[in-house]
Amino acid sequence: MSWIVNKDEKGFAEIRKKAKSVVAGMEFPGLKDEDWKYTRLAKISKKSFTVENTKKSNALSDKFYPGAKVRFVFENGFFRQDLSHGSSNYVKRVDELTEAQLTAALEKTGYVKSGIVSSYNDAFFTDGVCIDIPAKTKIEDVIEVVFISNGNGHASVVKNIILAQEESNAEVIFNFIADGANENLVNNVFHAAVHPNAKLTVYKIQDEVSGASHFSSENIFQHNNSVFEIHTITLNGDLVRNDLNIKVNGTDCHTHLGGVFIATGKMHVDNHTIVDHQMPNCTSDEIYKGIANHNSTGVFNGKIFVRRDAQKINAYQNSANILLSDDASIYAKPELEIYADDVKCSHGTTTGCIDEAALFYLRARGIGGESARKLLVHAFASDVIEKISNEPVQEWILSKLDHKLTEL
Amino acid sequence: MKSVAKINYMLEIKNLHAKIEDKEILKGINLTVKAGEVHAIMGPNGSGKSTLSSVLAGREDYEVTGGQVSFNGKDLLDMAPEDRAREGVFLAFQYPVEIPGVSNINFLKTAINEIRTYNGKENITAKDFMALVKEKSALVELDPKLAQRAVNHGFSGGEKKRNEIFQMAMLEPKLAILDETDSGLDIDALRIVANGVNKLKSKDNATIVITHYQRLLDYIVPDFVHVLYNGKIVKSGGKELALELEEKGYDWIKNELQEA
Repeated sequence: MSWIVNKDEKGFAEIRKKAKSVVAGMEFPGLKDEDWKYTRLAKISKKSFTVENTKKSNALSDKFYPGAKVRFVFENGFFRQDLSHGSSNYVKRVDELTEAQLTAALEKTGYVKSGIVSSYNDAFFTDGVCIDIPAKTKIEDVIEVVFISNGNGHASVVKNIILAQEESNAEVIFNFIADGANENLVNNVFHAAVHPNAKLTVYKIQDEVSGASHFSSENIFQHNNSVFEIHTITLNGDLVRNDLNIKVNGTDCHTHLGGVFIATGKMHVDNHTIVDHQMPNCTSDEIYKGIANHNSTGVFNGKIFVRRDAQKINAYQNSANILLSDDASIYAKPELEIYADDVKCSHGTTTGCIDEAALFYLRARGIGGESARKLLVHAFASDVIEKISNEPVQEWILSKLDHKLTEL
Repeated sequence: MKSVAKINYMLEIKNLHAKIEDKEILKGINLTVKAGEVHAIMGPNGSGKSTLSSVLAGREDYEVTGGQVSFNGKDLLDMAPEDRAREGVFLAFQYPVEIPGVSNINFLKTAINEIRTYNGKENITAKDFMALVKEKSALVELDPKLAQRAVNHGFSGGEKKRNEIFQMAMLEPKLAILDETDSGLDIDALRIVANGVNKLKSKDNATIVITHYQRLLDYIVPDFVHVLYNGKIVKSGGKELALELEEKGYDWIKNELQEA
């Protein structure tokens, strides 16, 4: 029996056919595979998931970004016109594209990576957004794309594309939420190209429920003078794996990767990132903060490549983690591969417990142990969130974070 | 039988013993403090001064092995550190802790509201709180901008100590314990800090000043001076005792004890 079955398959015959033959001959990576060393797939590989147009969810307005004027909502990978609102000339749905148009859009992102997540995605995807921001266009309002996971045993397989044309500027929220879902699978593949002098900012919220597994493969291609920012906030989900690959193929670019996860219960959150500096005069900074409580596990594997021609690179990477329980684990692996000689790179990783001296100080001022702990955890995570320059989005994310902190 | 009027002590320490790891530091402290009084506890390094303040504030590194401490009639040692603070005990730390990411304002507002909730009062309004910040930061000549910054983060030594007194002013404790508040302060900062403490003094609150040197006591004049040596209070007297100590040094006490 296949891992994923698509009951409502439509279109894209060539892409699917090719991918299905790849998937058929594919084995799930095991512990011997370095990229999957700390994230075991044995359990999930034995389950099976159905792609199905369910249309069950009501509006989950408390989980949507309140400031979104344009919102596209998908449930289990299928578009929910009734829950969406606003429209934009620049946002199309993948489902509306012809196979030739989709292939062309993907080719324009300049970066196609094959792996288990993207192969399954090609074979079973249903929909997603294809955002093409025209040159010299600044989109003032954040575009929100919501993916609701709902029911039991469903797979939401979505494909998203953003083409940020020259001198454009846009911000997009990918908001992954759940509606009482259980034992579901989310497979999300995202491709983006950031053209010369363009700026693209992505906020990714993962707030699914326990029982849900989420696999993302995100591939970004940066051209000259472009800026790409991504903020990945993981608050829920049983097994979460994010593969973020950024190819910086232009000069004078800036790349920012911010990440926060709060793992409770038996959550397993794995962030794999690659920043590949191929051209000179670029800066990148990456900061991931993890909080692991109960029996949860956090994995961070951040790789920075500085290729031979990429001189004058200033790359910074930091992963800091707090363990709140004796049974929680963190595996952090920063990696630098530098082939150029005139570069400035630094990386660091720390994992520790909550600062007892700070905790006592707060308690000695009358703040209860529990709220003191939350205040410190909030402070630990908030400096990543504070890097978000869009204040309403920053506040929204902070409120989600604080809500999650009540579970600690 | 003659009836004895019960004296209402704010703080009553009886035969207090405490250790850290296996080392006994406090070896039977007796001390009583009434509302309106200022006590100074002096002593050489290692005599147990900071241990005493830590034990009173509830630091868990120390284990109380004997004795009692009552605060306004309640068993202080039985309380969590936060409840001691909510009952009105305030420790000005010798080494204030830097807490990046937590703003002074947010921290103090949380503290004030938790104390108010404990005492059955409603939360302070934002307006009243900001007025209080303005008033109290002026009292210790603390730049109001520092109040917006993260707790003690990147503060100079003097700013940290002033911030302690600012917090004390905001929380209005019944008993303030100043643990070596004078250490690391230049004369101007010392004057400002002492001035703040003096302005906060009332007939309803009490202060314990813990110090190695006499100089702080030029500014905060104590009603009683106690000498702590080797885990015990070995001598008590009026403010003149501090001057005598300054003049003769701690060896005077040591020699006196050896002779006895």
